[in-house]
Parts: sequence; C-alpha cells; structure tokens
Amino acid sequence: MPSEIKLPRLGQGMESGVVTKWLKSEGQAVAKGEPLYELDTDKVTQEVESPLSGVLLRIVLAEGEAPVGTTIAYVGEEGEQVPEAAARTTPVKPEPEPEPEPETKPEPAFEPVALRPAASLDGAEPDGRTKASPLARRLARERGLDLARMAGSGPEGRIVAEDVKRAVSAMAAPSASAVGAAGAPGQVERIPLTNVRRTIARRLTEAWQAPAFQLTSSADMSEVLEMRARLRERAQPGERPASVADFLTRACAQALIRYPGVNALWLANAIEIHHSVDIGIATATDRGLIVPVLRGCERRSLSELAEARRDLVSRTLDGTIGLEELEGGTFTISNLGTFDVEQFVAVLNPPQVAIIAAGAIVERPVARAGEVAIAPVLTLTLTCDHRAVDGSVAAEFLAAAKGFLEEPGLML
Amino acid sequence: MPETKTRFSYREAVRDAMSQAMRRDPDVFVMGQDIAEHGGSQKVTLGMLEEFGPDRVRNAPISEMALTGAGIGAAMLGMRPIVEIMYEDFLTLAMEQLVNHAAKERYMSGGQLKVPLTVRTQGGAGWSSAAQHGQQTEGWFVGVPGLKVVYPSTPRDARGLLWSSIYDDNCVVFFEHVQLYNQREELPEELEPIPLGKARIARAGEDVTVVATGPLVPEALAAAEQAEQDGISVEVVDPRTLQPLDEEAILESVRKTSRCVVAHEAVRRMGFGAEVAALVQEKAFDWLDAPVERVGACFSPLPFAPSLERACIPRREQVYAAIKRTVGSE
Repeated sequence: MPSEIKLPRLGQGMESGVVTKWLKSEGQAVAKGEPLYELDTDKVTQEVESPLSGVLLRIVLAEGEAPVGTTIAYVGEEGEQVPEAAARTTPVKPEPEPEPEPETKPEPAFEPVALRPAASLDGAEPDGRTKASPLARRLARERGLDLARMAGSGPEGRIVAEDVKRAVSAMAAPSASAVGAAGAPGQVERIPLTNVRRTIARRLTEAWQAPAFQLTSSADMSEVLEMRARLRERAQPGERPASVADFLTRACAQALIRYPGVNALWLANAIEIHHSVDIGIATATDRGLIVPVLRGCERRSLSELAEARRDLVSRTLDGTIGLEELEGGTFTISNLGTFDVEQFVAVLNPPQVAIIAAGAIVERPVARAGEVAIAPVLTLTLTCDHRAVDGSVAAEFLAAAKGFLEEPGLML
Repeated sequence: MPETKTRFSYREAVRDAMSQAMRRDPDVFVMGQDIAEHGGSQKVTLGMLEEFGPDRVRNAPISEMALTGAGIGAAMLGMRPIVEIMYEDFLTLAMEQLVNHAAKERYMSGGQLKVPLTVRTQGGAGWSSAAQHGQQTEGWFVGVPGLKVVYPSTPRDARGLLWSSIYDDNCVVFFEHVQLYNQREELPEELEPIPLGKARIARAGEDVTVVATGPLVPEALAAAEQAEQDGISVEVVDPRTLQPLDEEAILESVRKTSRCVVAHEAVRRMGFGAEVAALVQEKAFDWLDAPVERVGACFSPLPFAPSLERACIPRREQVYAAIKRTVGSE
C-alpha cells in the first residue's frame, strides 16, 4: 500500500501551508530524511524531509495552499497503484485522539517542551493521531507515560518500544555519562540522545530561526543586596528570605505588566499578548535544561514568589514536577549568576517572544554623582523575537526592570 | 553400545524412515507412480523394490484419485500405507479423496474407522519446473479439519517426522521439497521419532522471530547470519508440523523478540503465513513492536524462465529485507 504524505503541522497554531516546490518528481526514488518538497508556512519556508523511503508515486498537490493533514503525495514501492479515489487533494478530517487509558495517570515526564504538534517531522501524525506499536503502548501504559508526548523513531514515525524505554531511562537514570568515568586516551563515548535532549535540540534549532536581537543593560544592585540583608536579619527561624533571583523575578514581572508586548507569544498567524505573567525559570538539571513555569507572578508578593519559586525549582531538580507545570510560560528567565558568568545571551524559548539572561553580581567601579564608587552590578541581556517585539518596546521593558532592581521599593 | 553416525541426505532420511518402518511392520507399504524399478521421479524409493519386493513397493497407474483412494481403503482396513504423489501439484487430482474421505471417515464413522495413511509428496520451485510442477500447495491442506500436515526442512526432521506420520492414526500429508533432497546431516543409525505438532528453534535470537517452513528455513538461517552482521539477533522457528501447529512455541518466541516475520515459498496471499500472522496478532498483540511481515512468492503462476522464477519466489534476500523492515532499519 502506498503511504500518504500529509501536510505536516510544523508548529503550534499552524493551520495550513503552501507547497511551493517539489524537490523530487513522480517516479523518482526518495530516501527517508531526504528533502522532498518546500513548504511555506506563516512562519517560514522550509524544506520538508520525506518521512519514509520509497518511490514518489504521485504528487497530489503540486503547488498551492492546503490545510494541515491534507494528503499531498503518495510514496510507495515502484509500480504500486495509488488509490484513484484519493488521488485528488481532499483535506483529511482529523481523527479523534484514541481513547486515553482511563486509569493512567501520567507520571512526571521530563519533556518540558515535547509539544507533539511541533514534532511532526520527527514522528507525530499531522492529524494528531499517535502512531505506536502495541508493545510501546503496553509499556507506556504500565509505566504511566503519555505516548502523545513522545517522538517515534520507527517506520513512518511510529513510536516503538525502544522510544518508550529511552523515555523511561531518561527519567530513571539520567546521568549515565557521569563525570569521572575513566576512559582510555582517544576513546570516544557515544551518548544516545534522550527525549529531553532531542526536544532541547529541536526547540532551540527552531528558536534559532527567529530573527532575534539582544539588548544589554547593567543594574546597580546595592539596594537589592541591602534589602536582602535586612530580610535575612529579620527572618524567623526556619524562614528563608527572598534571594536575588526572587527580586529579579519580581522586577521582570512588574516590568512585563507595564510592557505586555514583551509578555507575548508568537503564533503562526497572530501575536498573543498575555496579561498574566507566567515566567519560565530555566533550570539546569542532570537530565538537561528544564523550564518549569511560575504562574501569576504579577500577583505574588516577593515572599510568595520566593516560596513558590523555591518549591518549583526543587521539584524540578528532584524530578517530581508535573508535566502541566512545564508548559505555557509567557516569558523566561535564564540565570547563570551562580556560575560566575558576567553576561551571556540566551536563546529564545518559542513561542515566547523574549527571554532575559542574568549573569553574576560583580563589584565594579561606577560613576555616582560625579564620583567613582564601587557597586555590585548585575548585567542583564534581553533577547527578543523581532517579528513580535520592536527594539524600543524591548528597551523600555529592560529599563523598567533595571529601574525596579535599582530602586526595589518601587516594585514592592 | 557405541553410537554410530552416518551422513544422511534428506532423500536418504525419508527412505530410511520408510524402510525401517517396513522392516519392523508388515502393515507398512508404499505405492506411487514409477516408484518401484525407477525409484520415483526424485529417486526417494530407489532400492526399496529390491529389499521389500513388488507387493510392498507398488507401482500405481497414473490416477492420483485411484491411488489415494486405494491408500484410504487399505488404511481403513488396518494397513499403514504410504502413498507417494509425484508432485504436489498433482494433489489437486486426489483432493476429493483427501478432503472428503481421508480427512472425514474417522469423524463420520463416530471413531469406528481410522485412516492411518501417509501421503508423501514432493515439489517446490527453483529448478524451472514452471507453473504446473513447482507450486507449493501445503496451504490448501492446513485448512482441512481432519488432516495433519507436515513439512520438514532437515534430514533429521524428515526421518523422525515421517516415522511419526506413518504411525499416526490420522491421514498425514507429508511435504518434501526437491531443493532439500541433497541437504546432508549426520544422524545416528537408530531412528529418533519426532512428535507431530512440535516446532523446532532452528536458531536462537533476541530481536526478531522468523517463522519459516521448508526451504525457507535454510534461507532464513542465511538471512539471520547476514542480519547478525548488522547487529540484529534473529530467532528462526521451524514449525515442522503445520497442522496441528505448535502455537505456543511461536508465541513464546514472539513474546521474547516482539517482532515477527513469516516466510514460506508458497504464494504470500492466503498462505500459511497469513494464519501465523493472525495467530500472533491475536495472542501476542501487546508484545508486538512492529507489524508482522510476510515473505512468500508473488501472486502469479510460477514462471518457467529462471530469471522470472527467481524474481517470483522468496529467498534469503527477501527474508533479510523483511527482518530489516521489522526492526525499522530498512
């Protein structure tokens, strides 16, 4: 049976795409992974790879626009007949998701950004159906994993047992490549990609295509440090006062409320401005980078923020965080301050349009009222998606955040 | 007593089973076309006339229906006849006797009659025998309740299974493949009966099960060697008896490997492999990690031209390709 090539969903919110050019002609052999055609979406024009090997039997949609899921071509074995009834372009009605296992409660899986629709190229069906082998389904059921969040490595993107086992081992034994494993000089260690690593790679590659720009500004942190010292003095036994990171989160939240254009998502056909500030906290774990979301930051006091953030990060580190807490952020903070990095540029976390990178607080000479003084300085670098955010808005936001850090009383 | 071993060809192993039974038991005799002086078209009965004489090694006229009917009658009256049908293509001419009588008399008589008849037949492709002398017809008989169907792939299995077929109280259709007759194996002089209905693991493996019959067993073993080079561990299961089928052996293997390829020389469509594929999905569905692959001849009369015949019938390349597909690395 020839296999249908369907118009893939290349990103969340993508409804349709325009086939601009076929890179293979009918009757030509095509290998899995070889570029097959060019697709123009609202976001980008890109070459789409063939999901399987075979002969391009029939191009159904030579050029033009079609909804996601439309059959645009058939690939099969040489000489195979393409079903006549289906030979013309007819949009395929999305099948409903197969009945989820009622007793299954998804356990925390560490795939913060394994959003299936965007994974079309590495396995998801454009119509949202999850293609998985019976064994993979059973393994996932037994382990309480959600197949819809996995990428399939089998033929035509089918999720096979190996994919489930990989996802399980990514959860259970994350740091197989622990430092210090003795190896002979010249020996190469090959680490198979975990789902988390694949997802990170795919998402960041996607982010890299966005036209991004960066703005850098430094904040004098004297006031924040002084306030933190006072909070520490007054802390009750057992109480943990706010840290610099909490001040930063608070400052960003208050600045985002004033400049909601930065608290936004870039969708295929719209920009979505959010009025609730849900900040992703980029967290380094031994499984890789995970970004749990701290919701409603604009409504939380500094101490509430501190408590919530601490809880979120610790559950992320020990792996008990829920999947739903890894999705839906509107802005991201990446903080390498504890690593003694002075400043750096963060890569966007799509579909969010901005991310802020915070370095370490470093004592620097600063000019204050005509005098040179030594002050603790925090360097912030904001990365924005220029498709959604213009430089002036970004600059105003950054200035506001800097202002709140320099005069924390204004944001409390 | 020191055990002496002799190299037996598949042909000699078949002959040895018949001869040993005939030496032991006067009720056993063999009949078929040209089997006496001529030794049969494939020389399987060569020399048996000299040992057992014309009453027990009987030439039959060219009527498969009469020959099989005579065998059924003798069997119902207490003999254990062995009937040779020169090519399995000609089983069509004995179909009425086999399907309506050999398979049914025991049932229709409420167990008062039994038909301990063994119908040996030979055939298969690979020697340009064309569309009427090289078909594989075992699939037509596995669907007949009341018949047993045996298809050995090695000399040891041929000898041990033919013995058990002769001494089974039901009609057994026993398939031999012309391409296997010269396969050799060292066997003890003492015949080891092999029970009907028991599969053999021809090769142990971890990643994919190949259920193969007849000549596809050695071909599957060769494909498994090749797959081993790619790091794929293949288990080859030879059911040996197609009816009754050793379902548990197949299922146990598939539950271990999670992948299954079925391979036979008969046409793929509606073949024995379809039944195995159905069995596996019915009883091992939750263990399957890939669709069951079927390897068989293309749906065409068997061509005479050697090049076309090669294109039509499956060999190790097709089994290898199917193995690769099931592990997702075509």
